[in-house]
Amino acid sequence: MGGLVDQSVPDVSAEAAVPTRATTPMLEVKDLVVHYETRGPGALFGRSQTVHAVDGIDFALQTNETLALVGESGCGKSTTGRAALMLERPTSGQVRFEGQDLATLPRRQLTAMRRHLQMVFQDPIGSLNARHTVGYAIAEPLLVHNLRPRGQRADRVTELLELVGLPADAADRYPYEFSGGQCQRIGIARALAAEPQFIVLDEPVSALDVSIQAQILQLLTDLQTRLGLSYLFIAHDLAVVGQMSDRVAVMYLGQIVEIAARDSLYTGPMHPYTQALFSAVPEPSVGADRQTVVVSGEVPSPVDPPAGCRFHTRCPMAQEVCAVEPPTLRDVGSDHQVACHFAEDAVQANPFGLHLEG
Amino acid sequence: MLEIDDLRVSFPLERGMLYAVRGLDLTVRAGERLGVVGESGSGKSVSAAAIARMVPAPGRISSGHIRFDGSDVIGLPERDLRRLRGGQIGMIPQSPQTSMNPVITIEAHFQEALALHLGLSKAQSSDRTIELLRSVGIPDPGSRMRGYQHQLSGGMRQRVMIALAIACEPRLLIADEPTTALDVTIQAQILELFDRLVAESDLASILITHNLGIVAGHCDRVVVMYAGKVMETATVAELFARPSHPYTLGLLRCVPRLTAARTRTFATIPGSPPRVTEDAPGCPFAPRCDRVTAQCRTETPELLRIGARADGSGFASGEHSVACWHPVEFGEVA
Repeated sequence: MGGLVDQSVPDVSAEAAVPTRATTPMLEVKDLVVHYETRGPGALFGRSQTVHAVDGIDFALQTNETLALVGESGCGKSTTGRAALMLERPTSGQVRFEGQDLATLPRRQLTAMRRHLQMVFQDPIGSLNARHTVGYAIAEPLLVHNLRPRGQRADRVTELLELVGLPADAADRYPYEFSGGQCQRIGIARALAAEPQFIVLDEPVSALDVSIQAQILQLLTDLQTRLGLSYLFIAHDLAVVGQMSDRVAVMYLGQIVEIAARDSLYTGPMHPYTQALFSAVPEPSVGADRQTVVVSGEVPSPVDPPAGCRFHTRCPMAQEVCAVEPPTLRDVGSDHQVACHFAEDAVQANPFGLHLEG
Repeated sequence: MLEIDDLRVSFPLERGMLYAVRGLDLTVRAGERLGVVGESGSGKSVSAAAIARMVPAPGRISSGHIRFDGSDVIGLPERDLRRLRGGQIGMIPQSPQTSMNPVITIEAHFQEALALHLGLSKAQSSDRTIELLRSVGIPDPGSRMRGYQHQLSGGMRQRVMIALAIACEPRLLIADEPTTALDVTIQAQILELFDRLVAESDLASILITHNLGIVAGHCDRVVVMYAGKVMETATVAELFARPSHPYTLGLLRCVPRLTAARTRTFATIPGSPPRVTEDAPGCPFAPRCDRVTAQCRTETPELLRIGARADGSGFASGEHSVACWHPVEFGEVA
């Protein structure tokens, strides 16, 4: 990799391997496991414990597609996003980017590969270095990957600022001079600097005000269309996810419990946990029948996840088998998979009084 | 029961002044559930803090009246204020973690409050604490109360804070973004609990939130704040059916709906909420408003009751007021 490498080069290798590329998803995650060792209570003498952050998940992401990972805190969605970029070393499993397993890639090659894989963070202000100008923050990926000749970098920064809707003079200012929404635009410009194909968006709008949220969601949507980006969209807000995604994976305690095409999931969620999540969303409208049932209990500890189906401790549909036999993902429709022994019954019983007609 | 009249709160900055609340008028009746919505910097949290005279330094209440049960809160000496806070007025904070003392037991928090406000002995307060914790759904309250806050999950901590807020039988409960730090299923549990307690003891409540969905499901009346001012107030049903302020309408359109089809276009409000460092005349929403005229930039619209409607449906339910020179007429938008 030298200074001569410009943005047109990576496509050469892609073209060379056209026959396989056509069938290979852009990103493929297979049986991903991420465990952490921590010490339990009593830091000094506590026994070492294993946190099952991500416990065997599979998914694929196609070019120009958005897959959302949705779930509550501790479900492993952020860890999965970080592992997809090798910011977190998987305990086992594969992360294939254009067919290449990132987990086995030598360090140098991984660094070079990172150019195509970027991330936008939840905290727009905290994720920028307060001592660097906005221009430097955006140009840094160009320096790291040695992408543009020195003389062209300023032009590229201006171009990127314009792309995210900021004035060119923002380059000479510092992050504290900008609002949260503007800082998130800067974070997006920085992520786009190296012309990535794939971006992990980790709760990109959850720290923003409602009116700003919409602006950023529109920007991300437009950029995807314009640049042909693929997104892994990590979020807890189901309403936002519904407006941003082609496919959605619902996670609970380190596992995918349901994965489906957006419309299929949003008109007919089948896993009782997905149904519970949907029914818990406070809808901003005053309707007559809002009689939903609130799911009881809390998410168990990922140190000692329940045997069988991990949701069985809170599930109103649970039978004896659920405490013993872990359900695996099975097809329940076209591009709709669910990991539940009684998904069809749950649709019939509607245990949370879910009502999804617009 | 609570009456706020022309409340102004400001924070001195290194240079100049931040005007957090600029002339707030508000009433809460006994048993009423009021929602206060707004984005960051709207002054909603500062207003809530001002009710119990808890505006964080260096901010101060620069003018206005706050009457609670007929007595003037602004003039109260510190001693009486302590009786008010945690006694007559219960507060539920946004982050329970920083609101509890990490080195004393959960029981000790209750003991302190119950001794100060109700004069309960140690034994009496133990019994009452167990009863309170059970009522908010803490399992095994007898042993839990001897533990510390860090041993509880976020949801359980917020349950404890709610128990503490209602411990001394307040007449008004103020909750400032009580579920913002919580997951959506836990949020639903906490709001259900909040509703049950408010209904059971005929409390009045003020729920401060940025979430219009929470207002829709858990309040009777709503105040929409922007840049330290009230933009619109109405019953919840009225506000959602007939938003009158362009800002309210814009907010409602910005919120993504769970049941909406995916469109790839998002209704937005251009610009961002202001930081008010100049108490200038004019409508604060004018720079972002699509109905703006010259008048909006120079003259401050007063919060006025909406009169007879163009469609002949008569007066609004008597509760609908808006501060706008060019309000959205009913039927004007779909």
